[in-house]
Amino acid sequence: MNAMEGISIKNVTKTYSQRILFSKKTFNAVENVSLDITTDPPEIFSLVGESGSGKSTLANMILQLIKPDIGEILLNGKKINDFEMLEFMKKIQPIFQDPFDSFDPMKKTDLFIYETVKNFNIARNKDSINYIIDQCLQKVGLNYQMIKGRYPHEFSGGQLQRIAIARALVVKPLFLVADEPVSMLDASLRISIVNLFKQLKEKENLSVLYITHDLSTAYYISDRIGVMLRGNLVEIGNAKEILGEPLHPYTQFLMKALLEPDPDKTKISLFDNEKNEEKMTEVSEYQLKGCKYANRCPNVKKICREKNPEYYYIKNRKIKCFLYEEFK
Amino acid sequence: MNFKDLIKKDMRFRIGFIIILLIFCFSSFSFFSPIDPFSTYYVPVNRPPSLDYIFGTNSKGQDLFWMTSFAFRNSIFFGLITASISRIIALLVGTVSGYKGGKTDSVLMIINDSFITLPVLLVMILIAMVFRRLPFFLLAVVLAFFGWSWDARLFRSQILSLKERKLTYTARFSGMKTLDLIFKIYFPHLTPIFFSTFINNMIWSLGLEVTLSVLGLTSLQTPSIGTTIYWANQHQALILGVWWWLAIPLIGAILLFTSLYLLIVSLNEYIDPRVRAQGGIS
Amino acid sequence: MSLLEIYEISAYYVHNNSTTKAVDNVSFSVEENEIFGIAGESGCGKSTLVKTIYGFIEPPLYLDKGKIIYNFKDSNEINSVTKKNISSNWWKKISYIPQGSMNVLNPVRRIKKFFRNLWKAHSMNLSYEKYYNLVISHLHHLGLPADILEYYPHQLSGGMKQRVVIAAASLFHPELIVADEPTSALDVGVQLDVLRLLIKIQNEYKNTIIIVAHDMSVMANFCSRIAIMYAGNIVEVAETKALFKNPLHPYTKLLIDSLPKIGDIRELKAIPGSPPDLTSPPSGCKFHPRCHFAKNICIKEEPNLKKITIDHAVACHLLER
Repeated sequence: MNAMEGISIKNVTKTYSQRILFSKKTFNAVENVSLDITTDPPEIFSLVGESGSGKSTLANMILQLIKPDIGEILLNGKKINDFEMLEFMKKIQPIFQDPFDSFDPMKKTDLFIYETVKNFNIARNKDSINYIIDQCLQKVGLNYQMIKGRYPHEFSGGQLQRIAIARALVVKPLFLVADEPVSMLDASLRISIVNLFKQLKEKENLSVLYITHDLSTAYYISDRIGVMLRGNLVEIGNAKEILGEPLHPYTQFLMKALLEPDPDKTKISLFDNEKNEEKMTEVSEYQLKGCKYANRCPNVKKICREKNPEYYYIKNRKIKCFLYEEFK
Repeated sequence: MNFKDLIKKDMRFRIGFIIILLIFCFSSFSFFSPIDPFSTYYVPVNRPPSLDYIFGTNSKGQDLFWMTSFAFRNSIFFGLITASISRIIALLVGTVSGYKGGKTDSVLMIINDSFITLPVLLVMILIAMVFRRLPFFLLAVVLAFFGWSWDARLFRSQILSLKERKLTYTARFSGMKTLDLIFKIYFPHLTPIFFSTFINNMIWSLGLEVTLSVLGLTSLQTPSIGTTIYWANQHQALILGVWWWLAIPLIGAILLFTSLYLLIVSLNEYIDPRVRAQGGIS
Repeated sequence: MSLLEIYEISAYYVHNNSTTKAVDNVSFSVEENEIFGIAGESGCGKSTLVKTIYGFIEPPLYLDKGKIIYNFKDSNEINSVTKKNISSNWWKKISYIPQGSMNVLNPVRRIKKFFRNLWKAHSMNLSYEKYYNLVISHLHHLGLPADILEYYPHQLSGGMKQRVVIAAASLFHPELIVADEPTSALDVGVQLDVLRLLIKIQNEYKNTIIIVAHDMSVMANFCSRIAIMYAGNIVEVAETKALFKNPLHPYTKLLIDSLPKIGDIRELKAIPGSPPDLTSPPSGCKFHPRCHFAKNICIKEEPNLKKITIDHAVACHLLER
């Protein structure tokens, strides 16, 4: 069998324990998640979910910042921890949520770009290094003159995030793991970064794992999308299809609650009669034996509280919900 | 760390800095002293301050002007030696402990905390008595081995928080090796605390020097702030009315400690990132 | 007579010997019984503007000039924004929900204590018992469980904490509630709950809510009128539908065009360039360096906010005849 070009996440689980007084509760931040993202052809895959869904934990496992407790992650058919660190980082690079935290406020912004060029042996002498830095910055709509000698606080969030992306591009990676890259930017600035991802996918053959809670931008740029809830991947498939016609009750809820910048589509009054019973503590929802959405789902059945559903395939997507059992 | 900003804006820093500078200048006169600090009875005894003898003379027939200059020079060196060596140890222990974590961290912190709990004054008295008048600067080195533990924890917690920041991950994914990360990236973040604890440590070691000397446990022939007070007491200066022998080292010591404190207080406020973001306390 | 009349307010920050004019010559009015939104990018001055409205002006923020008139009911004196008199109205006539306010709850004190401290600070000749009953009935009225008072903040989710703060802010039925980014850090489902709560309050007490946000979706769903701010100026004020359907200012047009919508697959363009440095802003209209239609007059003169129709005002030279 041919090794798949791209990232292959196989049955990954990550367990954490939380000590509350004398009781020790364990919960799975990520539970039995399997997911493939291709790099040939490149695709933009969005991982969406609310806070506490496990999407960042999954991203950190892909980046080898933490290790899965069960399961494994493969890159082009090889286990990621079998790679030499530098070799691995040449293929996968991160973009983090807060650009001001991603850089060292005491150092000039070009330091990390310079280090990347030097440490990965992309270029040796000063002139070639400067050339590469300029090239990468141009790919994100900036240039070396603009950033030379300046410190992170001299830039806006949007510019700094672009510089972070430029740094990641130095090694010509296959894959970018972007963890909430636009959440700290104003809604009006998000489109420029997100457009950049689209552009990079086409021009640089770059696949992007775009982690976000903003469904509008996810709709705008993704090829495929995965919806996460309390560590479980509940719906995965083509982005426009899923967001246009969500099938899993949780995805339906997210789409229903999504506010649109269109005064003709106001939603607030729609919910007047519905009670969104909020759990006081998240941990209790993690502990649910069956489906994690059982407490909030309008279509909940008895079996939902007892067993965590398997995946059922319908309309070109995978859904983790007993409602679609017939489609097995 | 913007030194110029501190001098311009913070009155406390300015005053502290000026006084320290004056004291340093005064102690450097000792390098040009015509007199050997160990000699005695070369001037008339117990003369009060006058034009001939600016700080007066003492019961041992020594010119107090030069003696005080030597005294401050030695005491300040004492403080500097202890502070420097203990900084290096604290930085090493804190960084290794914070960065490695796990067992290394646990073991180092157990050692660290044991040192914190030691009653340093009593231990130093014991050492001084057992080893009978250690050479002056050797004592400073010994003291350094007791003065690192508190600040090692400080450095450790700084390193721990830096490790969690995304800039560490960016550095890793830029291919930076661990040593580069620690020296090039982490250490500059530690500089403000380094300087602040340096001065703090100096105050502490100077205080111990004076205490041990007054108790007669240091190398008494070496002129220092503490030994000057010791000899003044031995010769019952106050009763004899030779008040300047005590007053001058005491006033000098008060000025020294106060100015060092002023420096620390303004440095510590400056270190607070919220204050720094506002551009200083205006 | 409008509830709030703002005349030529200018406010600035002093930092490291440089002055940033955060709010520049802003004039507008807010009516009773309406939800008024102030939108714009980070750094456009909206948070500073509402702080000024609330009267929360402390160094390094200074008020340069201008006047605010509050026409509260049952008050004979016309208050204007000086520290002395407006602060006496805090919590009773005017309430402020600052950004990240759910984080102001003391983590080691129960919610009950938080409300008790409020009573101590603003005791209006009300006995604690009466006050406590008022709190319980208010919470009940808003649909929040009364046992919330026994919880510690860390036991509550972000959304619940935000709702507690909103309940506190609306306790004395103030005529004006000012909320700065009330839903920014919240998940999508929770955001809806918080906004519903605010609408419920507005429906019940017919007061006015001024909301500051950068998220235009929130504005579209929530406000009846919206003001767009850019670099310290108000560049457009209109009824919500009119603003979205027919934006007049070039900045507003670009802004509305850059918002992604589900079902919309066309290529979206970001606003070119970046906001100006407010320590040395551009001459004339502050948007001219980024404006496709900029003319000579735009570089020389600052445009004033002028009414184009009864419900739509713009500050742009292009639209003046």
